[in-house]
This record gives sequence, structure tokens and C-alpha cells, in this order.
Amino acid sequence: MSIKHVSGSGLYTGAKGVKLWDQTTVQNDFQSIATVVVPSAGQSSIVFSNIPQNFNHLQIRLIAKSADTSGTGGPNIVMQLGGASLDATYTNYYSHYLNGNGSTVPSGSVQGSGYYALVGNTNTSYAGTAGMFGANIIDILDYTSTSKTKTIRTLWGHSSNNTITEEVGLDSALWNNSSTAVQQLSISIVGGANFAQYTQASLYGIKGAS
Amino acid sequence: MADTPTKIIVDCSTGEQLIVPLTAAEIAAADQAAAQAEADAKAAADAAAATAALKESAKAKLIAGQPLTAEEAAVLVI
Repeated sequence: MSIKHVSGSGLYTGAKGVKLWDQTTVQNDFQSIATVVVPSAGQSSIVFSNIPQNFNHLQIRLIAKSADTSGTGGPNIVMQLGGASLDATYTNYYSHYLNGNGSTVPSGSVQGSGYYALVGNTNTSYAGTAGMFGANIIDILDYTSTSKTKTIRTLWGHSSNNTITEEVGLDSALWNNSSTAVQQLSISIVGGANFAQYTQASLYGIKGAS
Repeated sequence: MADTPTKIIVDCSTGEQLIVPLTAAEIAAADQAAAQAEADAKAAADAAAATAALKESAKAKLIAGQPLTAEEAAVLVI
């Protein structure tokens, strides 16, 4: 496609002169809401509160690392959701996982003590992994619904230049609450380790057709 | 005494960020999660070790021409 011309009224393509942009409309279908970077002391959890209710879906881009220096395996990351307050009842969450590490491909489900919604995995601060973080892209669908339970999908992976366990995976999770819109959420590492310095969580809102 | 763990809260309506100590209930929940995670890891490691042992035993019996147990056959036949 070639651009024919830019005029005072818009941007046009070649032979058919289709208008691509009217120089006024801004779609803003994918908007940044907030970003947190963990400071030097580390933090046990990252909380987004007063989440705006004017989007269809949420996405979190989490670049994470556990401060635990002893473990070589990737610790799981979990999320609490809530309206006016966070839901701390484990049995209100149910998750599935599928991941691979180059030799095995574990899969299964999890519900119970220690686990809220499973939203990925990350690497540790084991020796030789300085500067290496895990990537987690978390989608929270239809988060404002007051008639449907909330579903979450996460794609994740972490590498360490072959120093310790490396994995890639897919998680799905359910917050079994159909009547409450998500107004806040909390992200933490199963096992209680802190997120290490420079862990970054960015929250985005996604709009749908109006 | 160890420092009380903290969490970072960002208010999406104002952009304000606060670092606050965890409550006693949150610390208890984290401790419970740690215990569960440790138990899960041990269970996964035990299961993997048991499967590997069954495979080795089945392999040795096949080579020696000996009959397999049901558990040994199960790890070889999908």
C-alpha cells in the first residue's frame, strides 16, 4: 500500500484514495493505566488499587524476578482479585498450567492453600543470574462484569543462559466470583519470597467495540 | 528480629505509590503459602523420582526377560 498524499483533512492511500486517518481521531484502544517498579528493598507483593472501570479487558506485562537466592526452580506467581477488598479465600480460585523445560512437560490443575489465581512463573536470584528476569503477559477478561466469573490467561517464560531451570508455559485461572467487578488486584510469589529490585508491573486497559 | 515484609500499592486513580507493611493475616497467609509450595515441590520431586525408578526397573527386567509388574508396564505403555 502506498501513501498518496497528506491533506488538511487526512491521510490517503494510492489509486483508490482511501482515507486512513482523519488527523483527529485517536483510537486509544490500548491504554497504559499504571506502572510499578520495585525499589531496592524488594516487595512481597504489588497491588493495583482503584482500577478504572471504563475498559473491557485488562492486561499486565510483568517483568519479574524472585529475591530468593537459594532456589534454582522457577517459583509460581499468583494473583488475588477483589472489589472493595481483595479476596483471600483460596477456594475461590482455580487454575490450570501447562509448561515445558526442555525435558518434561508438566500439566495439571491447582486449587488450595497457598494458591490464588496462577499467573505465571519466574526465575530466582540464584548465583549467576544477575539481570535475568522472567516475562509474564497476563490477560484479565471482562473484569467489570457483574454477571460472569472472571477468567485469566497468562503466557510466560524465563531463561537464565542455561544457569538454572528454564521454562516456558501457559496458565489459565478462574476467580469464581460473578457479581463483583475487579477494582483491585495483588500479585505475589508463592512461597513468600520478595519480588527483586527492578521487577516491573505495567497495567493496561483494552477497549472493545462500543 | 527480621524486618516486617512490605507491599507496594499504586492507586490507579491518582498514580500515588505507597509502601506499607503486611498485616499479621497477610504474613500468616504467606507463611501458609510457603509451606504449601514446599510440600508441592517435594511431592513433585518424589513423583518424578518414583517414575524414574519404575522405568529403570522395567528396563532391567525387559533386558533380563523377566515379567513386569503392572506399575512398571504402566510407565512404558501410554
